[in-house]
Amino acid sequence: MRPATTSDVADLLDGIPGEAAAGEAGTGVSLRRLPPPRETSRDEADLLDATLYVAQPPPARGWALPSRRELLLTAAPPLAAALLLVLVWELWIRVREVPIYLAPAPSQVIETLSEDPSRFIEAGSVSAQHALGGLLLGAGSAFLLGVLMAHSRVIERSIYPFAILVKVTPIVAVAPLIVIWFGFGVWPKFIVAALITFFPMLVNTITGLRTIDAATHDFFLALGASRWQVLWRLRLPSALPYLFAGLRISIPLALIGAVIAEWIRADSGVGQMIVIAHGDFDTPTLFGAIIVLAVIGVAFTAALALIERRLLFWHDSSAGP
Amino acid sequence: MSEQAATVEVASPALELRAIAHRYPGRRGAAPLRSLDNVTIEVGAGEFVSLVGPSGCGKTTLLRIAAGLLTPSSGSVQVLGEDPGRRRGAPAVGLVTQEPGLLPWRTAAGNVALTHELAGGRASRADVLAQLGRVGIRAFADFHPRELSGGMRQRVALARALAHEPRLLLMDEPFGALDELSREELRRELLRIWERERISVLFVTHSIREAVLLSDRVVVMSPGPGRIVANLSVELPRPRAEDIEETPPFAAHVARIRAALEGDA
Repeated sequence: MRPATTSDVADLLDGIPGEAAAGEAGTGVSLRRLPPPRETSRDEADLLDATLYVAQPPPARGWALPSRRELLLTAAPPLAAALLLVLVWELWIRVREVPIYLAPAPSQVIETLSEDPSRFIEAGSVSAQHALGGLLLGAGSAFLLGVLMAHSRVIERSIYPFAILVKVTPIVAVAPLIVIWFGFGVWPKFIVAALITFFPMLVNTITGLRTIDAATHDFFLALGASRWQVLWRLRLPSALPYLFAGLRISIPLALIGAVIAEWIRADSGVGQMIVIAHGDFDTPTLFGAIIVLAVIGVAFTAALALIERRLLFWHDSSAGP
Repeated sequence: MSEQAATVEVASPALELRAIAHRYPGRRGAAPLRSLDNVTIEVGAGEFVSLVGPSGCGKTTLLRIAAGLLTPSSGSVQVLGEDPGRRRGAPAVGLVTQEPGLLPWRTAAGNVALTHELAGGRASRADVLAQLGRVGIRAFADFHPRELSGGMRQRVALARALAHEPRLLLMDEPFGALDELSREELRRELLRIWERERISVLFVTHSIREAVLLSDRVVVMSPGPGRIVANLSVELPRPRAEDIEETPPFAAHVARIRAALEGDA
């Protein structure tokens, strides 16, 4: 970033029509004209020398969608690669005559999906609800506990070992117990999904709340700010990038947890679908289940990214992809 | 703050630090680091006092003690005749540090409003705009810090520190992280604000010229442990303009302070 010099400003005054001339994204530094001053005082007249222009366009705020060209450039290469892969796979199955109980051709998977899509949509929406419920439960409790632990070393020291224990215990070993205790219904799914999302959210909450700008904190303290004011006005907003990072890690984990719990009792969702299809050597359905889970994971992550862009417009990470 | 208020306060100094000593605890059995030794300093009402000295002479430590961010090992601190630790109600100091420390998610106006929120009041949009106008950035009220240059951010920090009308302004190398042009511009701005409002200021800086240009009095410190080696008043007429730096009296003041700094080393 470079402050504009007076001669730059003079050049630009001729060239800029209208009240705003933001440069196109991607052209590097661009100068942006100020909104017209409401009233010009002596102080403001002074600004005319060097500071009238800021050498950076304000970051795009809101739900801005990428342009068609951008979309094409980012989406085309992976799509082409995927298409090629599917083609090779299809040919391989047909030429080698691989039996369907070992592996289906892509065309057979598509056929199974389109034959009875409601079966997949129902299972998918049940699993999505289980994962979302578990994520809210796990991330929510981790956040609340994290706030306490970030404020008190004693609380942190007494809870942290248990958090580690939850983290290092394989979820597949714990899930059967949870299912025995909580039976049918949504709760065993919520709890298993919550258990594996808990730790990443906890660590990110604590780190985020403690990572604050020292100069800003000094200013708060010099004004006699209370702990509550520091938490609410400084720590929580500062922690947001960490909380979003934690959620990004937690989304696929929540999905794993939900499917494992469904699998054990085999009563609903994609987990049940996998158990039944596995018993029947129904490989097209197994692939269909994988696709459904991938779609759910991508949809959740994309929704999160949209919210993140909206809330974290001020943070450096929001400028990148 | 009006002239009247300034004359009423002449009786009690804005800041009184008496026989301050401070040590940072030693690590793993090492001896504690004595950062300040028997430092006494006073900032009168409406007086602009600068602290100059080499790195590690404890001037920042002294300022943080005045701001209530550190507790001295011994000695007494009085801000406007009160112990800052026992103060109740709105704080009487404003703080500007080298890094502006603005909230990046708030606009310039939002950052100034923060002071009112923390000091326990509400300010109208018009008040906030007036406070931004005071430092010449009213037109940037709705910009976020990342959209502003370093100099402008520091102006927001100054407006924020002044928003609750503190009677004592503490500044810790406020222009230290800026480029030379912005630094000169902000010096001019601060000079103008001070000559208009006569707030008491304690100003920490590395720059002798900056200290002479702005101050009524320059306190020279030396390290190991930090102590005061000279206390010189600046006898230059006010209002001062930047071109005063080219005059012989200005040069003489700079030379005296430099001698005090070197004489000790």
